[in-house]
Amino acid sequence: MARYIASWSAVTAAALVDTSAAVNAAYPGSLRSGGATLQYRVNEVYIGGEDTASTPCQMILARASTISVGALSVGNIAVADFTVTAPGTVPGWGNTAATSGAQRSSTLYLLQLSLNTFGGIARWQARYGEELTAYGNTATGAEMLLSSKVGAGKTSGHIIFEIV
Amino acid sequence: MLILNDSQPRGLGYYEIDNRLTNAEMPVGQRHFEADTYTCSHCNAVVVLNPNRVRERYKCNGCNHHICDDCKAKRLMGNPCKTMKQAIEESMESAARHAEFPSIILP
Repeated sequence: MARYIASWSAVTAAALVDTSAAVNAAYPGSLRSGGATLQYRVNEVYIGGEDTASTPCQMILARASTISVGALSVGNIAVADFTVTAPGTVPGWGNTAATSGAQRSSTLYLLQLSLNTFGGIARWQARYGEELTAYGNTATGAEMLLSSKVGAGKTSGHIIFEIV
Repeated sequence: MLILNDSQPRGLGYYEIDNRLTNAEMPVGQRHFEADTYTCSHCNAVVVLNPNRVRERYKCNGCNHHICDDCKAKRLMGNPCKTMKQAIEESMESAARHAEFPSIILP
């Protein structure tokens, strides 16, 4: 099916505590499936640090124990293959939720991408067939949230995912 | 150097933290970190392979895939093998079935 790239630009993260609602514009973004039968698979996460001073930052991709409410915005989502027929429903992506932000699960951490955002980069690529999957429209399967647990680093980056 | 044998997962993901361009003091040898990863088939957590680990990695004999230490503990406590793929399929099937035959809500 269709592969997509969700990206964010120059976002300064604020440290987010587990199981508390993400504050708009203070995290790179969250990717919400949004359909009862919609499944997506993440196969790459890239974070590039853009700070002008040393800022150790503990970025975490985790499942949301409470999913965001309302439309997600701020952040781009683009299809990788220009010629592909887009599926009817595409996951929502962004760091601004119309009603309330997602809450990071305290247990379901999927990736820990710690870096110094003063020029550091962090990257993860899945082996083929071992992508991270999300599905449905309820917690904890529907949404993944990339956020900082410690540190207020400024980053840009992308998440590559495929809609199944 | 990581030597692969039967106790190690094969065909791996890739994890990289590159702070070589970071203009800050750091402990020696910690500017660039690369490691192989695999994804736990039960909970989907990404496991970064520690090259210094000597304990064997647990391969679930239900799904024939390496799983993370947390899921290994659950498995050894007697929990059945249930992969994330199975959980997703069950959930999606149930969602599709309910869409086709919505349950009756009684007053």
